[in-house]
Amino acid sequence: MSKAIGGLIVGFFLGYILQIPADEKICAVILLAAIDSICGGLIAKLNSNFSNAILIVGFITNLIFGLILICTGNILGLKLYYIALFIFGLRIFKNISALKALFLKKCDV
Amino acid sequence: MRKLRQILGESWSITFLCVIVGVILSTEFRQEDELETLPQISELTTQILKLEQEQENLQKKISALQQEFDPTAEELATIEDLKMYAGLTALEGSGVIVRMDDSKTNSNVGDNPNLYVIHDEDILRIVNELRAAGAEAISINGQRLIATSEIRCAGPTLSVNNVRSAPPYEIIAIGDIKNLESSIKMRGGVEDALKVWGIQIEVLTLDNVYIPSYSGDFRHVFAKVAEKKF
Repeated sequence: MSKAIGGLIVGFFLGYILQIPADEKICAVILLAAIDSICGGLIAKLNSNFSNAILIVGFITNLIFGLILICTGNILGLKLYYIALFIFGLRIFKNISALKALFLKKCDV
Repeated sequence: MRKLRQILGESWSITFLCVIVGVILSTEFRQEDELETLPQISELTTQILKLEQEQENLQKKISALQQEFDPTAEELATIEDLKMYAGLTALEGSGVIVRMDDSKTNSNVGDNPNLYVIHDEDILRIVNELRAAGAEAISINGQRLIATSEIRCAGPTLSVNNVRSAPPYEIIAIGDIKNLESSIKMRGGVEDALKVWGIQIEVLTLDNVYIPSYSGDFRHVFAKVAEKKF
């Protein structure tokens, strides 16, 4: 937990120092994909079947598909990245509710 | 490599993802800041400078034109006359005040309650009668009627010169007192027609009534001065 927060802070300063000129669509998709993967990882940890490789591969495949949607959307002039955002958002909420259920189970409430 | 792994712990992927989230959050924050402030400020300053310069130019133009303008007494008299006709001067003289208020009687069951309140049409009829009787200037609740004035219901209120007012309405007209009074009060005339519905009309004749000037602005976007054809 502390490492995750430390990573967040390090990333924050890194972003300030690097000053990456980023497209807002891409930023949104990466952000949601990352949050989604973090939630998934936490669930896996609570289920004690956590694997770094699966998490990273899952994140990268999600990201790639999201970026493909953005690129095709840009070419066709359609807002396809909404789909990626929508699905990621949905999954985050699903994961959070699953997390909550697992926590409650662990705490034996 | 092993050392790095020790620092990051066994679930290094989550830390890595957190770093990514942090980077994106900070870049977005930075972009928001830049977008919000910098371009707007510079844009506004250039706009201010532009407008200030424009104002200065116009001020110069005004003073130049004022110096150029040197009317004779005759021209001044014509200007005053035209101003009076256009409704740009306040006027006074003998005239009538017509006070109208909504009906106080209760409407019968099944009757349309709209019949018991004053409508723009009622006001229009009275104004029309007054004009036919030779009214030289008319105002409604302090709004001078000019050539482009409208008299129109605006919800429960009345809009004249785009200014709204509510009952009671006070219509002031300058002209021949007798003609004006009888035009309203004549048998079968406006007053009779409106009294059927209980609308209260009161006509006062006075030796001196005051009518304010038109205070709005004139707009002629489509109309252009043309040569006389007929």
